[in-house]
Parts: sequence; C-alpha cells; structure tokens
Amino acid sequence: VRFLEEFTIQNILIEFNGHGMYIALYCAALIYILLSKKTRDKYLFFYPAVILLFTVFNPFIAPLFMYVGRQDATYYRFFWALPIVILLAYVITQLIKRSDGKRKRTVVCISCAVVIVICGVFIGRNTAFYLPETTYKVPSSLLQLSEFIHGDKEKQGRESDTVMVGPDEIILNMRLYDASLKTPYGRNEIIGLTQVGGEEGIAALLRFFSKREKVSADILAVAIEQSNINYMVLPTDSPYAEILINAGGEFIVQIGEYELYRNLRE
Amino acid sequence: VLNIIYSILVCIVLFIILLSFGALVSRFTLSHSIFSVFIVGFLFFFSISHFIVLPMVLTKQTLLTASISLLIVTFICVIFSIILNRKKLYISLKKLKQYIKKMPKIFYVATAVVAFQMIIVVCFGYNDADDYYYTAEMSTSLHTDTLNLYDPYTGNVLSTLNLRYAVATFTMVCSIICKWFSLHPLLFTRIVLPIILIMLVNVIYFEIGKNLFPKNVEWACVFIIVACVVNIFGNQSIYTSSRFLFTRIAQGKSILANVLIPILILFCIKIYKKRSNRAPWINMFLLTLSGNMFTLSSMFVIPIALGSFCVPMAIGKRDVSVIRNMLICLIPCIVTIILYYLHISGLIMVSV
Repeated sequence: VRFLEEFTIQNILIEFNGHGMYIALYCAALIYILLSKKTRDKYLFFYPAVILLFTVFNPFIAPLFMYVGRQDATYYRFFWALPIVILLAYVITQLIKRSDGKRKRTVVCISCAVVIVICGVFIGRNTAFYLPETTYKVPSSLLQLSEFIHGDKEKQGRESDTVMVGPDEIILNMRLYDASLKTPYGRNEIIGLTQVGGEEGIAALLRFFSKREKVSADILAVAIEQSNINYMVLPTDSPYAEILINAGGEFIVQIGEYELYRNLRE
Repeated sequence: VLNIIYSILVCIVLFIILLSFGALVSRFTLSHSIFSVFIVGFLFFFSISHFIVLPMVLTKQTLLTASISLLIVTFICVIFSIILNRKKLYISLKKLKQYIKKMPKIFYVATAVVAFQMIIVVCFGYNDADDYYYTAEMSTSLHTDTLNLYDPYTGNVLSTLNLRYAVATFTMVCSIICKWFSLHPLLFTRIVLPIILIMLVNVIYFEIGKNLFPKNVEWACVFIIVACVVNIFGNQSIYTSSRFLFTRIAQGKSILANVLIPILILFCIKIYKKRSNRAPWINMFLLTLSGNMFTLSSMFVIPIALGSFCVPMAIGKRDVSVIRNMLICLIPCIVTIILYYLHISGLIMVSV
C-alpha cells in the first residue's frame, strides 16, 4: 500500500515534464492529428497515444504495473514510448509545408520557433557541460596521477594489485581511465546506496576521504592497513594532511590540486 | 590530436562494418537506400553480437575469446557482403556523386545541423553518474580480460554474476570493439559512439521524414532540422530523451530512447504501408532481437510501444495477422522477461 501511495503516475509525469511544456505541445499536436483528414497519421500517432493512456499511463493500472514489473525507479522510460520529438517535428514541418507564399511561410517558421523556445528548455541550461582538458574528457591531473603511481610502483618493484583512495572525483574517475588501480569502496558506498556501518575500516576511510571529516590517525592507519591501500590522494587545501602523515602516509608529489601520498607501512 | 584522428578512423571502419551487415540482409529487409542499410546494419550487427557474447558471458569466457569469435564472424559477414553486393556497390559509388549533386540546398543545411549536434556531444564534456559504471565496466573487462566478472566501481571480483547488467551485453560488445582497435574505452564512449549514434539518430529522422513526406526529400530535410531544434530545447528534466541524446548518448538506455523507439516508429510506418509484406516485420524482429542487449528496460518499453501501434491497426483494419506477427516479433522480449523474473526470484544465479 505504501508503494502505491509513493509512486503515482502523476508524480512521474510531473517529474518527467519538469520545467517545460512539451507534454502540452504534444497533446496539442495529437489534437491536430485527430482533426486532420489523414487516416495514416491517426494510426501512427493518435491511437497509440490513446492505448498508452489507458494502459501504462492509466493512474489506476500504472502503480500495479510498476510493482509487478519492478520498474518503479525507471518508470519514466515508458514516456519514451510517446514519440514526442517525432510528432512535434512532423506537425511543425506539416504547418510550414501547408503555408503558401514566402511571407506566410516565414511567419509560420518564426511562430513555431518561438513556441518551441518558450515551451522548451535549452539543452545548455541546468546541464553541467564543460570544456574538457583532455581528449579522454577527464582532468589532466588524473592522467598524471595514474602515470606517477605506475612509475612509482615500478620503482618499488611491487607486482601485487595497486589500491588507492582519495576524494570522490578521483575514486570515480580513476577507474574509467585506469582500471588497473583498485579502490577500497565505490560509488554505492559514496552515495549511501550500500550502507557502511561502524566507525572503523571502510567507514573511517569514507569519513576522511569522501566526507572530508577529521578521523584519528590511529583509526585511519588501521583502516589503510586493512584495505591494503598503497596510495592516498588528498586535495592540496585539505587541513588534515598531518593526520594522514601520522597514519603512515609519505608525501610523494603534488599534481595539480592534489597531493599524492604513499603508504609507508605496507 | 592523434587520439581524435584515430577515433575518427575507427568511426569510418565501424561505419563500413555496419553498412556491410545491413547490405548482407538487404534482400530480406528490402532496404534500398544507404540510410536504411545503415539502420538495418546497426540492428543486425548488434543482434549477432548479442548472440555470440551472451553465452560467453554466462559461461565466463575471457574477453579475448569473445573478441576473436566476434571478429571472425564480423570478418566473414563483411567479406560475404562485399562479394554478394559488389555490383550494387560499384553502381552506388558511381551514382553517389550524382546523388549528392541532386540533393536540394536544404540537405546541406540539415547536414550542418547534424554536424552541430556532433560538435556539442563530442567537444563538450558531461559527467554522468552512470558512466562511472558503464565505462569503468569496459575498462575493467579490458584490464582483467573477463566479461562482467569484476565490480567496475572497485575492481574486486564479484561473488555472483550481476545478470541485470550482464544480460544487456552492449557494454561487453563495446569492450570487444575497443579490444579490436586497441582503443581506450573513454575515447570510444566519448568520441566514437557519439559520432556514430548522432549520425544514426539523424539518419533515422531522415528516413522517417522520407516516409512521412513521400517523394519529397526537401521536406525530409526540413523534418531533420525541426527535430534537431525540438531536441535542443528538450531539456525539461533529466528524464527526457533529448537530454539523454546530448548528455548520455553512449549509454544503452539512451539508445533505447533515441535510436530504438524512433526505428520502431519508422518500421511501424512501413508496416502500415505494406502490412502484408514480410520485410518490415523482419526489420521489426531484428529490432526486438537487438533491443534487449542495450538495456533491460527494452523488454518492457518495446512491447508496449509496438503493442500500442499494432492493436489499433489490427482492430481498425480487421487484420489478425498484425497481432500474430507482433507476437512473433515480441518473442525475444518475452524470453528476456522470463529470464529476468527467474533471476530476481533467485532461481537463476551464476556464481563467479
């Protein structure tokens, strides 16, 4: 019952529609198709939308479908079955095509563009696009860290797997670029999807490196030893570098905004 | 710069492979234009890959074994395709210049619009949380020479195979392609795949436009331009297909939203035109066959989308064969749904 209360089709629709008006435009386009004389368009766009409305988007059936299909977290994907972009593009092209004369056509084009701009949301808005530093689209400091760790490993003559720990952005991005480096915990632990209990071990590492909290050097040293960590990364502005040194970390090099430490007690 | 040049070369080779696969079955799928051959080739290549890679994932074979097996099959298919279609290829290459010359001016505007979309996707970076799984999974499989046996987040061995991800073999096929070309997975997912998929998405729009505005390429080009504008302003929320197109194009779910569903609409148009003809149904079967390899959501979304089209047509046209053909097309999805339920109920477990 709690499930049915939490996941309603209305909530998902509001979430999917977000800040725009595309769903409203889509409905308007459906009315246009209904009023048009083309039977083909009705079969392609109107009737399928009606079927979907009475099945997967039916407020009474949808919650049950979500539960049985175990698709509650990804239910928004059923909205992809509505050909919103294709129908809007088709109706707009149709409107432009039907308008006679250059002047009328220009007016229709401009009007449609204005409607799209007003009802839509530009892709660059609220989207964290960035100009990448490298062709791999990861920070250059990450590439340098990886290269330095491998060089140092070779110098040390170590053949076992290399385990490293550091700030979240390093932990998450490093394995995209260099899968030979292992980490003691992953994204699930960082975002809390996998709960890590207690104060020691992985929990201590998470508190120190991910949440950037103060942890006693003794607890940190044990956690580093338990997870067989070879290298630690700290941001240069971290106030806890001394704790890491006391826990057995030896400063090796500064790369960009990060400091690399080697585990002396390994 | 070398990385970019090499990535573009890989794109060209992949484009040739996909075209060869499309040409190989063009007799059955009745794909005549280079665009429809490309679309069918994409579906056929990934269907074949799925059937080669999935048993290897479940039997815990190495990435190298899977890579060699798929390479042999691909090589044979490409050679066969070239031999079978050599005359057509010669004529097409001869006609290509004329064909491009004949294209209206608006075609070049549409090409520029497609190029603009590619620039957005390739030149800008976007960090998506799911990339930390999918791309890391590719890097991990390449490093460990395994298929889905390691946790991509940490690099530790899994206790049991995560079938939810393992059944969708798209990431492993991508790893195999990276292995073929010695290409870094980050370059593949952030340069190669976006270029191919943006091209594919627009080719699908062009084909839809050609079918909605028959015998009028000009309006098909206008259709592409309008679709592009609608997509660029389709950032209402993080769930829209347009948002996925520009930010998460290389992920299986984005392929479902931006490639598979539009292809489904395209094939539905063809089915509406010639529902007694087998070719559009063969195309549709290829779509449902390859659909599940990109994301498991396909096993629900594709049947719903196809059903919403076929049921009214079967009723309106009083044609039961539409339902029969639809059910045949949905067999791959039904099999995947059964496997999925057996897995989540704990009846199927593959220990590592």
